[in-house]
Amino acid sequence: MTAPGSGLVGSVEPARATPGGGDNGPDDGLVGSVEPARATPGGGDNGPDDGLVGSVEPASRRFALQAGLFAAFFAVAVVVSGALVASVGGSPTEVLDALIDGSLRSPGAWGRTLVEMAPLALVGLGVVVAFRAGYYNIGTEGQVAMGALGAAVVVLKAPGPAWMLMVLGLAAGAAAGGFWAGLAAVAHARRRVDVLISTLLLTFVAPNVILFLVARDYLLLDTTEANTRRASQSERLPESTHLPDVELFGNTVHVGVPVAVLIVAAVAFLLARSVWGLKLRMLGRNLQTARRAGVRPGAVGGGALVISGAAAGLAGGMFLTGAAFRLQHLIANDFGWHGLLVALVARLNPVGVLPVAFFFASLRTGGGFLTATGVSRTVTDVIQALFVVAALLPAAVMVVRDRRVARRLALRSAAAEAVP
Amino acid sequence: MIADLETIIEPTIRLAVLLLFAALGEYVAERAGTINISVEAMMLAGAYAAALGAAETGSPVLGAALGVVAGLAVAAMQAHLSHNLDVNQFVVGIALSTLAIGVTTFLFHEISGSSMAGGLLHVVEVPVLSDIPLIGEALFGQPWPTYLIAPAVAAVWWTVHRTGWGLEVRAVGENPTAADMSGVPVLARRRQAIYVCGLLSGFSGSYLAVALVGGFSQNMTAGKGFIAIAAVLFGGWRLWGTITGALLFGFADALGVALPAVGIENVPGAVLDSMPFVLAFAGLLVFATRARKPDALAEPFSRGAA
Repeated sequence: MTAPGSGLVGSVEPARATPGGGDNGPDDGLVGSVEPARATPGGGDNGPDDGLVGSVEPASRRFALQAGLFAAFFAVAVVVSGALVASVGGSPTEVLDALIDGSLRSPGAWGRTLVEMAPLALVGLGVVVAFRAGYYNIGTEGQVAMGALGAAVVVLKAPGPAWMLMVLGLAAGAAAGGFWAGLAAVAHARRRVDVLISTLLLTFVAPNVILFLVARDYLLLDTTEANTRRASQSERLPESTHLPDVELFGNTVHVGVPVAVLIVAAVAFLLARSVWGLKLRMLGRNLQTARRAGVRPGAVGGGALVISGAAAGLAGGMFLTGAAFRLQHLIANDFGWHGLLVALVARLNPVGVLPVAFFFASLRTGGGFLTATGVSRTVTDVIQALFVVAALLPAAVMVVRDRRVARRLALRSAAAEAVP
Repeated sequence: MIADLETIIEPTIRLAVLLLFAALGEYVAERAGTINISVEAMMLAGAYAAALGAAETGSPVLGAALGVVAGLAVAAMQAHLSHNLDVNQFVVGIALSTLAIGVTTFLFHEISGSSMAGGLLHVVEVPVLSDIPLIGEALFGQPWPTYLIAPAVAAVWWTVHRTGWGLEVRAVGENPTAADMSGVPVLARRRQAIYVCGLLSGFSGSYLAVALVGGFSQNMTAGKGFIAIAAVLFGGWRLWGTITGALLFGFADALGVALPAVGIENVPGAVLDSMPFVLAFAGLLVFATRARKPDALAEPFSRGAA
């Protein structure tokens, strides 16, 4: 991930070193290797290249090119999705219509989409934080489930006034999600266990923990009259502890939605402007350099992992107290996996998390309207995956292009040196 | 008592072999420096393609071949995106896992109408040997692809540790810069190692679909690919360690089937189902620091960048 070392390629592309240019650039860590050349101080050896700076494209053109690539690849994803629907005998326009109906057009639809967006955005935000630090937390699905569990335990079992239980429930959700990710953080700090694998393994344990608890009447099993068949689920949360609704231009959302948006905004600001955000990025870029600069990987990176687990846990608690109201073992409902994808499509940019989360939420709510079209709602999973791939490709294309440019410039300057 | 032990050992071998095919592939990929989390995607694609092929052609063998092709197709995407286009290997793996679940589930609902039975590969009882008490049935009375695990282990050991290609694979996993300077095509070797993983994981998925289950069900691999990865890590990136890991996790997986069968029914299903994952996590905790991890594992390579 460091800059190309040789003096020859060293000064290629200063265009990308512009501040703020990193937003869409490949600096997000998803795509590696060819990095902007940092203006090296001892630049004497850059001599032969100086004549070439004129040929370097301006940042605006680069940005336009990338935006064009994104548009092109997303268009390809749409076309491929349509072709897939057509290939199984469905009508692409009908499917699109149903998706828009279900997510935006029908009464109350975009409110429901916003309610789905909130947990997705929180999970995605957490993933951005952890990935930025180089901690690949891909166990968000389990952390969402544990968050819902934490919230359910507090709301159902703790004494106190309803409003307090609600707030404490959300806090417990965040704590439980953070704890689940914290196991991986401790395993990494103490025993060098790969975070990627440990978070993933823990994900498969979480639903079983819940299943164990909600199947026992002395623990969380719903023992009321309503549950005559003793299905493995908890009691419904009392009405007074549900997240209060907010009216929004004729649509209803729970209060968690604006809260989630505020949290995303706050963390986006911190990531961009605070020392903490800088430390995270340093750690993600280069462990050795970060260490030398006084960043403690265990504290900063492990902390990032716990924060991302807490964000996922909060998402789980919010889904429980705002929409599901009842705990069962599949409570996470793919929010963890989809939130992970949100972060990837947003290219680890916290500002991008909200629109991408809204888009993915639309696929979730729109998917429910697909029954009439005769196409399985699982098509939305394919569409999501195609968009994830499409989001990765533009930066990859830029890398290939940069590599070609760098080689050409290197050859040219080598040729120039050869002339006495 | 003996019969009870047999009831436990027999599924242990089957599930361990299932894990080991994939883990062998992952072993090769990791020795070349890639943590290839698309193993799960390769297995799932392989399982679906194998079941589909078996159902359509009526031949489980053709189905298994198709499963291998599907595994290789996923490998091609992983290899080129991560070791040619420089996209982060984990991100590629996550994207491919999502794609594999999405596509197989969608096609399963749309094409196969949620039922797909393609017949099973037949069981071959090795005469005499399968009559050995305790382990006879487990080792010598299995569906015939099970026996392929022995040549597969031997072949992987030979190619990785005794051939020039294997030396280069290990070199690009330990010190890609030095390998590059010696003229080893680093990215090509890493891609090839992923192809080996695709082949073996695709076969592992086929094995699940046409040798063990005889059909496909939604997301039928259910995290087995991730356990295969854990087996490699657990084994400290050593072949024998990987085999041990696969056996151990296969055993944990088999308990879910075997304990109720031998009359132990008071262990909750939730505990049994999470056993392989808990055990894998615990195993990593105990052995992770002692392991000799390939130095350049999960580090992307580009010339002049180091």
